[in-house]
Amino acid sequence: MPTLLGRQPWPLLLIASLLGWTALVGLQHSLLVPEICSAMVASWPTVDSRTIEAVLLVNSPMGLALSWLVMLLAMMPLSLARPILHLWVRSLARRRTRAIVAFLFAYFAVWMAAGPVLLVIAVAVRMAAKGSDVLAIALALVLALLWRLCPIRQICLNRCHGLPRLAPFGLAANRDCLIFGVRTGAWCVGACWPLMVVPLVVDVMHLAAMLAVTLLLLNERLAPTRPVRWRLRPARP
Amino acid sequence: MAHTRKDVWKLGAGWSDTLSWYARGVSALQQRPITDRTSWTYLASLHGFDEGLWRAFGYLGSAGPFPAPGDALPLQCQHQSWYFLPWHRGYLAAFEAIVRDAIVKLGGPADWALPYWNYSDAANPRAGELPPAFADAKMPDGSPNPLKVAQRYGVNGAGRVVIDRADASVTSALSESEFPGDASGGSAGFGGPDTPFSHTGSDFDPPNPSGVLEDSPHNIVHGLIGGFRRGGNPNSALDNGLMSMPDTAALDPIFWLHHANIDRLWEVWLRRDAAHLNATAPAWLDGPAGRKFQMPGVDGAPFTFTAREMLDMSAPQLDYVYEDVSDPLGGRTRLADRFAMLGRPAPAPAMGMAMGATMARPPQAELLGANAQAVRLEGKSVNTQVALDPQATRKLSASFAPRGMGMAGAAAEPDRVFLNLENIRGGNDGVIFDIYVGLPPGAKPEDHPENRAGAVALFGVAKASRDDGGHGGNGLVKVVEITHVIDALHLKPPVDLQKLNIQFVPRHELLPADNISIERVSVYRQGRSS
Repeated sequence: MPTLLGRQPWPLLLIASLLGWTALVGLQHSLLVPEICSAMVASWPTVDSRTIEAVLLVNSPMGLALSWLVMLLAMMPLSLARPILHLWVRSLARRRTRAIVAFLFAYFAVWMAAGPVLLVIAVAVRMAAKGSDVLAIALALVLALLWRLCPIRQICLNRCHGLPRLAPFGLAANRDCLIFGVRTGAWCVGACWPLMVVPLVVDVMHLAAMLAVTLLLLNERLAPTRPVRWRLRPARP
Repeated sequence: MAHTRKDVWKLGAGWSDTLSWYARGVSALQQRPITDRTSWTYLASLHGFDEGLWRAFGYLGSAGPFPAPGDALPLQCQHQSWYFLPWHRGYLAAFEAIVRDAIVKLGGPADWALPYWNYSDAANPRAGELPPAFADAKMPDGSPNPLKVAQRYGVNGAGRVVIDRADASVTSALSESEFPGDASGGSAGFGGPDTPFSHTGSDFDPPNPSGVLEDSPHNIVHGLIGGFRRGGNPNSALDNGLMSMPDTAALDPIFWLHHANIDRLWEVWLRRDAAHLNATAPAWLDGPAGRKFQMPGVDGAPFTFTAREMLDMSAPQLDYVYEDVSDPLGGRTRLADRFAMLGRPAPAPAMGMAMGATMARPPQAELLGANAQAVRLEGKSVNTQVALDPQATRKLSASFAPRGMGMAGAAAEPDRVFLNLENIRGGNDGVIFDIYVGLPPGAKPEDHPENRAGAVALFGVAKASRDDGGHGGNGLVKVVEITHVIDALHLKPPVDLQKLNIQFVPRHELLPADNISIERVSVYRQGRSS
């Protein structure tokens, strides 16, 4: 790993990730996503549509989306090294930037679409934990562990490694990069959604949880593909 | 006094002492159980292992689960990697020491060394034939011959093993001037691309190509010896020869003579040109980071080694020399040949050295174009057209313009051009096919040897195609240099570089059931200007 970190695209991705972390630390006082969880839980069991409206008025959907995007920017880039290298090597020189931008757009779009769903799950976990941070993390981790045992998860993780054919020219080339981004994003969500719930359920130690999950995600992504079956042992890259 | 590894075809007719003792040594190792690290099967498992295949071929018997949990030695073979050569050197040295020890215990000579099979020897008309001792059913004393294996199907699917002169060619390998290459679409280097520990092909990067020597003649010879069974089921690995598949190759005793020759060619490459140098990166010399290479000693105890320790053949743990490491190409260089073909003055040797010294790493390659859709290899021949991007191709054409003396004071070489076969997937490791570039429409490939770019063997394709087998299902990537074909086009202007016709001609007619596909066929340039 250390020697590869010196080779593109790793350095650029590391910088992107660090920018995301910087933004997060800077915005921490206004991090919306975990707060919304607390806000929802605090008003349970009287939550109704007006409560939700009120919560959303204070924590605007745009703000939520931005804070989710910044989280993704901090956590995802290093896991995208291989697809980005594939795009770089397999595209015409004049199309490389376009290809990578199209891929990233589609990839992050999938995660943005998954955001609200994961938020709902995080709220549910928080409610089940009756507002306790420790219990919420424990529940989220149990969820992640149960999912890790599932063969379906290994299928998703294996498919993350797919590097498809890219048309070299024209609209077909753009289309293939977008589809590549959507597919990678979808398999990624499939493999890692419970892990991404973990940092959403905590107020305090939110950043620490994010860092831990980032490293876990990277470890999983770099491990080679494995046969699909019920399994407990983690993969070794 | 160092041991001398000798040319198997110069040992004398039939059963020489060296081969007789080899057979007896192999036999002794085969008596040992797989749990013994000095056994035939354990040593073979260091290259690769597949429980289903090994059991079906009778190599597992009633042994318990293998490998034992935590045993880091099996499944180590390095391929599609710059570690290919140093790892195999360590592997062969460990094997040779264990066999020699067994031979000495049987009363044999302490100076026994592994022979090599030089199938490219132009001075020997029989060089490409399988040494007869490997085909005899019995040894001279009437006992069964362990050097003969049933699953060795050769070129006719029925056991006829012969390495054709063209397939045995070492010209492209020995002419490659850089050791390390990369996976950017251009040359993979003489020794292979720089990778981390690479047994499952490692998808740390997109699938890596093999180094030039590893591809040709190494992979091709594997396929020519192992082949696949005539009339067999192309979907079944059980009908592939042992040498065709990485997981079973080291079970065939001919494997070691083949690899002794590949190891010898490394030495030949280093000696034939002062500009030919091993990789110097610490990652290669002292790597891999993380999992280190391990071999069993004569007593079975594992020891680790690095590429750095494999560089001096006189070191105690190697301690061998080759009978003949002379240059079969008589000093010819790729650059001089190319300039001669283009009708231009070659760079003067002193300038060539200066060029070699200032060249840090070869420049990154760049895509020129690709075909329109995935190709299925079926039948006797398949065509595809590669459309080239005008903007990128202009750079290629510009590199052909005659130039004056540049800053380095040397005539600059025009771009090199490489065909990339991306994500080759399939179920049959024994497949070999020839590639023709730029054939006129309707022309017969056999009438145009000048358009033949080379041959490709699909050694390892089945495992690489499985998406749970460590490769991510991305298959194999093959890089074939087509510079000489592009050069020939430039000699007959006007040059039409909008489309290139690529024709694949399998050695055996391929059935749909062989299921061989190439996701994309592309062309790359690699040159001085970016």
